[in-house]
Amino acid sequence: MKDKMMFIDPHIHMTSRTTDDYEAMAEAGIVAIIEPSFWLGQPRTQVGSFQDYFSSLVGWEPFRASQFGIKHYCTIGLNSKEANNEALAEQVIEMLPLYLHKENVVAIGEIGYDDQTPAEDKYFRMQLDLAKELDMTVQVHTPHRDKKAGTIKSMEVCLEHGLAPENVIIDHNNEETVKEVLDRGFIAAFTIYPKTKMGNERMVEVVRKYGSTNIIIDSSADWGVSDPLAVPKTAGLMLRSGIDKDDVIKTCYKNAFDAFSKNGKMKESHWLQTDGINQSKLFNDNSVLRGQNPKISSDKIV
Amino acid sequence: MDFKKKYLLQIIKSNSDSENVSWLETKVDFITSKLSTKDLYITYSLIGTKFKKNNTLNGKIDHAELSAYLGLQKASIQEIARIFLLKSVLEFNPDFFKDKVANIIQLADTSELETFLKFLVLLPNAEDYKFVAVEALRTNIATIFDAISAHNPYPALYFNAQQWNQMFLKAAFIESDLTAFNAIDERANKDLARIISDYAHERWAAGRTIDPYFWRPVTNFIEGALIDDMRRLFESNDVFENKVAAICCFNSTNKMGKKMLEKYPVFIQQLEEKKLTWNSLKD
Repeated sequence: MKDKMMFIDPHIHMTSRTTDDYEAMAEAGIVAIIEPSFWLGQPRTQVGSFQDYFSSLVGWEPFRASQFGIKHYCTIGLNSKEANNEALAEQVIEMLPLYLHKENVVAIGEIGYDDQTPAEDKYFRMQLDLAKELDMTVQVHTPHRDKKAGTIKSMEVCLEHGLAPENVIIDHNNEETVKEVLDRGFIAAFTIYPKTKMGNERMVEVVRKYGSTNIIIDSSADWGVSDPLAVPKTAGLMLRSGIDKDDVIKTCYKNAFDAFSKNGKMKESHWLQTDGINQSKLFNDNSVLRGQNPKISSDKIV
Repeated sequence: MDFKKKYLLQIIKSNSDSENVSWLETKVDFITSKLSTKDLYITYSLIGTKFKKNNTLNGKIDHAELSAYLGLQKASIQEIARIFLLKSVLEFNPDFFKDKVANIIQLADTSELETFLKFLVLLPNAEDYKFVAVEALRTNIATIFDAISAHNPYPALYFNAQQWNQMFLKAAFIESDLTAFNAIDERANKDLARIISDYAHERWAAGRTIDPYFWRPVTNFIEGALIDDMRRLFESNDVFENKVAAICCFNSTNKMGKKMLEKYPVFIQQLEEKKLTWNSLKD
């Protein structure tokens, strides 16, 4: 396994994925992932639903990932869509400080704008203040509609609240937004979508044009049509298209690590020095194994 | 466990920057005098950044039982600082802080939950948190289950028989270390003996082996099916199973058991000389 490339997918919603995905991801070389807290498709109506979701991101899901040899981190925040339910949003905001210091929380996220409403703006700003107070990295979701204006506004608001641009990851970029983001010194993440929007051929061209500094690739795989192997697949395509291996390592591993390891929770030793996978450590009555033989890796993950 | 919080402070002081120690003491004063829930939560959180996870502790604690337990559970200074905080507020105003502490526990991540479970017994009115302890028996995360069950006095002190039995059976089921329980003999009961026998039959039917220590709680309840089980253990090719049957029958008052044991004079001698005991089973 020594020569195999290592990847980090810094934006993937594993809660919505299967163990087949975890197996395939580990096999493809993904060593660590970051799961931003987001909208689950069905709007939540109770603060307890948020609490259990956040608890799952700092409890059960990292455990599940560990059973496949993948290190799981998360970002915690109130997403933009649900910020529009103001009564609920208030309660969620109040609860956030209790989660932000948990051992696998690497940033506040994904927060930002969806329809760019006043409520979204209010709670985005409140969370930016919290990030400033706690000196945390921020992962910003940029809107699908009116994208370019929304992206620029997101960055301006971050600066207005005193955040350092190198401590903010602006996600879901495309060819139209990348220059604005890089010019302002923010980190530009790109989500590779399998069929629409940002495909991986387009990503190769972005790296060819803008280089690898401050550029991160992620899958944002969730409950919709998406590909949990987007990062390793794009890395493969970049290599075959003549992109320098160093640039591939930076965009598919190193930049994400540098961006999200600032609060000290994410450490390379978490995946470089492990005991390998040992599924026999977990219970088999009602867990990720259902009567199968546990997989014990003979080779340490190095 | 009965002890004064000054002993925790003693070990915190010998292992932390004085700046962080005064920060903690100031925070405790503020939280208690103002009854500030917000500051309790923030202080609890920030301890994670101000105190180390390192569990090699310098200095000593002038309280033998506490010192031994912290050593046994490999407590880190970060964990001790959190226990100090919670113990302080709960002692100051249990009515006000009980639910606040319950809320902190409810929002724990995996390693924080392990800490709570290991050290619940150190909190004032530890029984108030029994729901969390019993809930931990239902987990699928092995480290959580072990935190409440292994080398932990809490279950023996507070679990009822049904909860105790649930814990013992699950430990066997997931092949945890069955020698790690406190008060295993004291908490043995007739219902558990029946459960052990039934589960052993299930394992045998599936052609699977059984941890010899699984049999320990049946000692005082050998009758009916368990007599046949003892016979099977005596006749097993596994010497540990033979020894287990010998220890159980030796300590039991059941006549049939004693009679079976008579066929094994070597074991009887070892048992009488206390060379064969549960603690020396695998020596």
